[in-house]
Amino acid sequence: MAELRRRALVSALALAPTLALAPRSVRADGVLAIQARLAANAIEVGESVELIVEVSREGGSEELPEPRLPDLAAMGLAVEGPTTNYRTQTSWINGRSSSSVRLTYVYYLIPSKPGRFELPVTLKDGARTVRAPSIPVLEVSGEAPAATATAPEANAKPTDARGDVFVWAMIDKPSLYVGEQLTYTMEVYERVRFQNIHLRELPGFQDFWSEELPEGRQRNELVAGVAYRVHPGLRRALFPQRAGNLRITPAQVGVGLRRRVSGQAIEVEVKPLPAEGQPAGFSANNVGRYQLSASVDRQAVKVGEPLTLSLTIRGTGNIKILDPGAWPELPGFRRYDPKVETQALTGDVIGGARRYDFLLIPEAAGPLTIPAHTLDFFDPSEGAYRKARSQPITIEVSGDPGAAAGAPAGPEPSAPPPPTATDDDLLLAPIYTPDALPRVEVAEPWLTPTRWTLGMIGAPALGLVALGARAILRRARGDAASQARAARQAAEREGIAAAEAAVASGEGFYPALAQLLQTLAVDRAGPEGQGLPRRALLDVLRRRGAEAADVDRLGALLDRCDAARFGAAAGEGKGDRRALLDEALGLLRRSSLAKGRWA
Amino acid sequence: MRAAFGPGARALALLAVAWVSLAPARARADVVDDAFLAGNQAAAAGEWATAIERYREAEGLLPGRSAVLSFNLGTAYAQLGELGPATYHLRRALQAEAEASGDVAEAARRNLGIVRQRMEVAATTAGAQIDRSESWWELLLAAVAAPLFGWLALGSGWLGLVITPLAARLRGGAAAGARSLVGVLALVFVVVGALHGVALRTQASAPTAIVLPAAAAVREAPGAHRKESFTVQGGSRVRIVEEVPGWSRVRLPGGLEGWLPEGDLGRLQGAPRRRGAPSASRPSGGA
Repeated sequence: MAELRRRALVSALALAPTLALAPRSVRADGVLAIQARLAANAIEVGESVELIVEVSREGGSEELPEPRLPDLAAMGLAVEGPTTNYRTQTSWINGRSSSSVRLTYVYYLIPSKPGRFELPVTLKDGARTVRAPSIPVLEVSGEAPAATATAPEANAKPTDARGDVFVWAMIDKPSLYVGEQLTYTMEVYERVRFQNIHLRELPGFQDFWSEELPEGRQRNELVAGVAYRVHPGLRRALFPQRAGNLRITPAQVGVGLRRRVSGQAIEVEVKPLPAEGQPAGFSANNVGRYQLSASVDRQAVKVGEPLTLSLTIRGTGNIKILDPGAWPELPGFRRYDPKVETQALTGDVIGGARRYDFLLIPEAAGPLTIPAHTLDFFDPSEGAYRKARSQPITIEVSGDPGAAAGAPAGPEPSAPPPPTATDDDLLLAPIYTPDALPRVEVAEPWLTPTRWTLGMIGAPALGLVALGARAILRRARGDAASQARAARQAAEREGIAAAEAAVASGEGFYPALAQLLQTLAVDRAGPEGQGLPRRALLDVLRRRGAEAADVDRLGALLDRCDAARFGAAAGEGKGDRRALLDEALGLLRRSSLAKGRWA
Repeated sequence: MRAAFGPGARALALLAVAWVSLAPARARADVVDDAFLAGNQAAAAGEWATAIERYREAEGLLPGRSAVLSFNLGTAYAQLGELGPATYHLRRALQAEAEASGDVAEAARRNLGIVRQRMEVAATTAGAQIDRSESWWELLLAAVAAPLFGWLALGSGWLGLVITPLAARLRGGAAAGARSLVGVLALVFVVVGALHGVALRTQASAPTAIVLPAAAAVREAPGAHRKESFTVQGGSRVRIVEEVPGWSRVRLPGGLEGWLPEGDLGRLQGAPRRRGAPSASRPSGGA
């Protein structure tokens, strides 16, 4: 027991400093507060001002409620934003922690009318309403944009300088007919250079057909003696769709980051199209000045052969919604719905060309006439109705007049009708009805592309091989001179062999050696040496460049052979014959008469 | 008796039995004729869809080719306004392999002209692309692709090769005549051979096919989800320049290219198309 008490005391002593030093969190609900202020208290109409609202809570962890603004729209204040910034802070004082959160809202207010505006900002904290201790007050000076529309003169320019920036709208005519073009131009005048001028709200073109026009260029202009830089805003071609006083609401542009400037509203007088002289069934879309032309791609066709008829309407006006009227009947033709192609030209005046391509199928032979087509339109410049008319076109149709007689002649089918039995019986060749089906067995052709290719390559290849072989043979056989030379060399080799064989016995040695040397002399002397006596032959050899000593040796050898053959040198032994042969061979191989040295 | 049937007679008998048993085509002839005649009867009654069914049955059973069957099939399709298959079968009737008789060929050309006229109308109203008529070069290549020209070029080459050495042995006027003949043969060999080779190469690298649906959507890449480039009129003649599984890149004679499902095309070379209806890449319109 004593042990237990001792342990409890030790634990209590150890825990005491910890408890004493531990921070004590405050779990109170915290205090909610709101502050509101304006970045500037006096501005002009269209300028923006920042309304800064700070919501904070000291202690507590609940989410911060969003501030409540007064009815700004009723005050003519446009609001952008808010942007927010959230901050928390925790502090330690005397061992106690305290935390706070702060949320800052920034609203951008843009007044559209002058006046003094109080801006009470509140918070809802459960059932309790928290109010800002001070109420911001905004003083707005300047002029509000005109609420009523004006009916300006044609192309009226501004006459009064209106501050550092203003928007100006103008029209090219104050009064016009329904469907006639009205050109609307909106420009921004600035005295100082603004970084960012942009269109925030388009003008209201209710009751108008609107087409964009190319914008103008930036320029400088004096307004009541004040220099302005004029920025092109937008240009539109407007086509009023009903009569009466039509209103074009003002455009609004943004200047810089949050400044807004509005233009003026414009009222236009739109007159109805005159009833006098109006063609029956006239379309109010046909206002402008138009011409009409017709052409065909072929003027001579066969029955059933298609051709294209092109009707082109060209001129100025709102050509996109132009009503071409009812197409005339085309007797003798089958006609399909046209393909329509519109090429709008956008300059200062809207216009262009619209082409209708009809596919026509002549169903009867002979000359067929495409009648003229008429387009009624109202010319606003003359204030009267006019007609545009195409020329009639005659098509020469050849072929069997009754060939397409049975074809349906619907007025304007939207697609080619399926062929009828009557039509096809007349046009298509009938089927064949033999008792048995004629057929052919399809065998793989022998001449496949591969075989054909090989055969085509083979013929010239074989020709080339034959040519090559012939050339090789020719080269191997040589010409007549070389063949004769080869024969002489063979005879020389035979002569040497015969002499060699006869050295030992002496039988036929000298005739063989004489024959060898004689052949040598005749060979070296060439054709000139044929049939000459020995001395003359040796002279020829000398003339042909053989050395005199060699020629003399040749002559001496031949004489010695003659002497031996005819008895003058009888009794010579084997050694003498060997020496004689060696001398002859030396003459054959190593003298100026040797084969390699002889020219 | 044994002497009456010697080994030679037995061999002949065996050969005769083998000949009869190995000739199955004749066994099918009746079936083909039956289907063809049934098609003719349906056509005579104006039941063109039934006629097409019977004709296709006959085509499936037929081991070879029949210009009359192709003509009747094409004409039946034309009667139904199906211009793609009509063009395909009428063109097949005119192919050299079908060996069409003069009157069948003339009738096929007439019906093909009428179908072409309807195709032009349909293409114009639907704004679809259509092949232009064959140029003289395409017609020339189609003509010289025939085996006759292949044999002509081949024969000229080999004959010239044989005559050349003989001409070298001749003298006088005979030699001059032989040399002239060799020159002519060489010219035929080179010109006709080159044209035939180009035609074969073109057929192999870019085979011709016919667009079968009434109007087919040609896409920028293979895949039904790919962007549509243009629409081609059924019956138009195209060349297949590339193939991936299920899709073929086709080129119109004017140069337009794109991808079509394989099932939308009927190849003119090779076996006839034996599938069912072409895949509908776009609902039929106008035809």
